[in-house]
Parts: sequence; C-alpha cells; structure tokens
Amino acid sequence: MGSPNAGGTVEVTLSGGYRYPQLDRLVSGLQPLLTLDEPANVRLDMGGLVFIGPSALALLLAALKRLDARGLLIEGRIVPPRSRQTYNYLLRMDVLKALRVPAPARRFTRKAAVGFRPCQQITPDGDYPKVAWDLSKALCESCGATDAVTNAAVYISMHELAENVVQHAATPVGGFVAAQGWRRRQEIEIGFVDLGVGIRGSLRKNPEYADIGDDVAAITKAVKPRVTSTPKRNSGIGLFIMRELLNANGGSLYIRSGNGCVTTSSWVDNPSVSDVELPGTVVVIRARTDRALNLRQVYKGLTRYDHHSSDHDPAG
Amino acid sequence: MTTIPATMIRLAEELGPFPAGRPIGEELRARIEHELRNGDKVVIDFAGIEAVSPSFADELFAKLPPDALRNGHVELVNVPEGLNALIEFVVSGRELA
Repeated sequence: MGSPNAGGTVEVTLSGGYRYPQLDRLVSGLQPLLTLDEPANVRLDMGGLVFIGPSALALLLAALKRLDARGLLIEGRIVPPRSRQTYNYLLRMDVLKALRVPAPARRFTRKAAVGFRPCQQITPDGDYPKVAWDLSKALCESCGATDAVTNAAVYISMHELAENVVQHAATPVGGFVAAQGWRRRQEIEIGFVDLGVGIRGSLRKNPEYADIGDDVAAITKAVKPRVTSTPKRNSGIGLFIMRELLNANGGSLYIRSGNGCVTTSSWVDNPSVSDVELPGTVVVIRARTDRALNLRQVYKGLTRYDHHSSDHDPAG
Repeated sequence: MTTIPATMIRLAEELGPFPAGRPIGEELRARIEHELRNGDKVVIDFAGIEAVSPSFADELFAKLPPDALRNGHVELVNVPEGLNALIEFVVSGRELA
C-alpha cells in the first residue's frame, strides 16, 4: 500500500471505494501516514479511487492534518482520481488543501449546492457548536428532513460527539467531521474522527477503569451510561444516548478505536478486533430518515435504567 | 404573605429550540446560582424547547446546589415530555457519585 523509501517519500495508494464498511481497509492503507514519525514527502495516489464516503473522508483528512501539524509533511503530491466526479468531490472537500497541493490550473467553481458542506475540523479553541449547527442544517436539507424533531436529534448528536472530541481526544489538532445524506436511500451518515488518545487511553485516566484490558472492552464500556474518564466534569451518557437513539431508529453506531471495533444495530453489539491499529477514534452514525429520530422518546426510556451503576445497563 | 421574587428564564428565547453543550449550560447555571444567592426563586420556562443535549442538562441541572430543584428554589415549567426523565437521570447520577 505504501512505504517510505531512502529519498524520504511516503507513498499511499487509495483505490476502489471507501464506504463506511471499508473503513478498516482505509485504516490499513493509511498506515504509512499514521505511523510516520519523521519528516517526509507524501505521494497520495488516488488514481483508482472511485468513491470515498464521509467517514472515510474525515479519516483521510485527519491523517493528513495530523502529519502537517506535527511538521512531518515536507511536500505533498497527488495523483488525482481518473473519475472526474470523484476528483471534483475531493476538490469540494478541500483534500488538496490538506495536502498543501496547489489548486488545479483549470477553473473550479464551488457550487453552493443545497445540503453540502466540506469536511469540518473541530478544534478545542474553535467554534464547534457552529460547526455542529452548520453541518446538521446542511444534512437535514440534503435529505429533506425539515421537522423540528429530526433537526433536534441530528444537531444534538453532532454537538455531543463534537464536544467529546474537544473534551476527550487530547490532541491539539482536534478532529474532523463529515456528513452526507442520501434522499432516495433515506439515510444519513455522520463520521467523526480524531487521532488522539483513543477510548481506552481516555478511560484509563479514571482510576475506576485503569484495568480495562483491551480496546473492545473499552468501547463496550464507553457506550454504557455513566462511564466517563472525567466524572467530576462529565456525566458519561452522550455515547449511551447516541446508541439508544440509533437503536430505536433502526440505524447503527460504529465505533473504532485502537484495535477494537464495536457496531451496534438493532440492540445488538457486534465487537471485532482488527490487526491494524487506529491511533484515535472513529465514530460513525448511520440513521434512517424514514423512521423516527426522536430524542424525547429516548429520554423517556431513561426511567428504565438503573441510575446507580453502568453495570446495570439492561442492554448489556 | 411574603412574596419571594422570581426570575423568569425563557430557555427557547435565550438559547433556541435545542440548547446543547456544557459551556452554555455552565453560563446559565452561574446566572441561576447568582439569583439563588440573592434569595430569589428562579423559574425556567421550557416553552418552545424541542430537546436539550444530555451534556447541557447535566451541566445546568445536575450541578446546581443540592436541593435547589427539590425545594422549589428552581422551578421548571412547560417541560416537554421526556425532558423530565433526562433531568432526573442526570441529577440522580451526580447525587450518587
């Protein structure tokens, strides 16, 4: 996929499609960037790239931005996708800017399309509420979801996850979020990526979770109520509420951190372990817009949970 | 009969229909605590609120002085269905911590 050579160039090849189920393949493909620890030129060959979904895009941009922020990116070169549609999409999403590659000579006009926003960065000192607001508005426009109930759920979900990045990722680069709606498929996908300490690293700051053994255990713990690395400041129910919301909606919550991955759908958690480590966290929300996305209903259901302990989560 | 002055906070007018996040929760709580220290009652009107984020609810309600809600020094009116359960959940979480 890519390797540094004696001239100090790291080559990464991305080809085919990177939808959310192929995130692991992307993590694999980006390993040369994710594990780089000395300055290098980066050649990103996207000639064969035909599709990159929002979560995969956020991961790519996070990897490039982290490289740049660490002073490891000497010069970036790109082999553009042969697919013009894909190339234009990457331009609209500012991928070339992230690699510090000059804009193409041919004119490119960023259309103010309804429901479109580029991938957004979330930084501790940035205006992440505005990011969450703008992106959720665009997303709801893109799938025709104009009712207050859905708007509330989408905005609050984005805000909670953005705040998680700011409060727990422990990286000055912050994170990235991208979203897309498919009106015909009646689906939305929101991907949050940070290349920070990861969930296990974060939870272990709380002495109560110091002995969490592996990344799957950490993720499984993190989606339970009242689990947080910082109990004085935080309540530990953000991810739990997301899981409840998406389960009720018929959507899914995917969390990848370190070597662990847990996907929750239809009230069933599917854990898996990857050979390839992700230094940080990816959270992907996939929700159906033809079904209720109703936070108030989720909140009503809180009465059935034991308020005393995360171990008494009836969902397991 | 002694009348206790009450400060009215119309949440939706000040923060929109879906308030979210710790910073604005913290700011609002600071205002409420100031009023309480002055001996005033505070009434929070939820009319126009569609939902609030869990972190906002935790920051605003769960970190209030103990018993502020229970003793009626802070009164919540027009609370939409479901939000009472969220508020109870975050408050009880801190009480047991």
